[in-house]
Amino acid sequence: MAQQRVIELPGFVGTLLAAVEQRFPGVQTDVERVKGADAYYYRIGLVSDLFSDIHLMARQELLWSIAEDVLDREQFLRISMFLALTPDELNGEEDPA
Amino acid sequence: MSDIFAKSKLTPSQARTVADRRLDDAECLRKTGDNARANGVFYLGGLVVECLLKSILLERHPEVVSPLAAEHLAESGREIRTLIFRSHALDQMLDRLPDLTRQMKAEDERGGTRRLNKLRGICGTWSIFARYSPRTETMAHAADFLDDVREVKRWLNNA
Repeated sequence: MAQQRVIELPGFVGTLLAAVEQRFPGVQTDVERVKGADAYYYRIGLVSDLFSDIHLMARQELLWSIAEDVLDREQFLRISMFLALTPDELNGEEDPA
Repeated sequence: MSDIFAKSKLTPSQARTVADRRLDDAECLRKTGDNARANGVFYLGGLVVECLLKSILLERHPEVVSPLAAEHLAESGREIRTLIFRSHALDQMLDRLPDLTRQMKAEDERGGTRRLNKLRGICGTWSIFARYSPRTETMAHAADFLDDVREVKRWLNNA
């Protein structure tokens, strides 16, 4: 799938990241732009110790709720994925394919 | 060797049937209430969504199925073919179905539901690496996950 690192983020992605950082201070973020069938979509990677007490699925629920709160429908649909991990989870051993 | 290992051409209806069966399998494990079976519920639940997304991709892109046509496909067709036959990346499958997410969002807004968030949560979290994980989940979390799978499955069945 065609992917590339984002150099300049659209404003709505910055708005979303600011809202996420407000909820999870100090969170590390990484954004990938992905060419979809009809537009570019954005995948957001997040790393924070603050995720450690939150189950993986609950993290998703929280993050998508934040996105719904700060983005309009079209912007919301352009966010394709959140990957929310703790530093330990990020540095875990590579899984076998 | 069992017949279940025989390779066969994947069709949309076959993928949907398999989704039904894996959901039944997951439900059997959930009913045990045994935490030791929770990883299995997660793994099978994710497979349900994988089968349904692949069935929809197959329905919408029948041109990618034939191996004879593979070399003549455009880049997007090759990517979809790879997703269907060589991938388990639910998030990438969903990226290839923008009209589906748009429709789901519209229906969520009309009905006050949150199915798209649940589907995206499943797609952003689940991976086949669960099958190798030595960690164990709790059945309470697995049951919540399976509830989400069941809810999005009802919608995807009619997509």
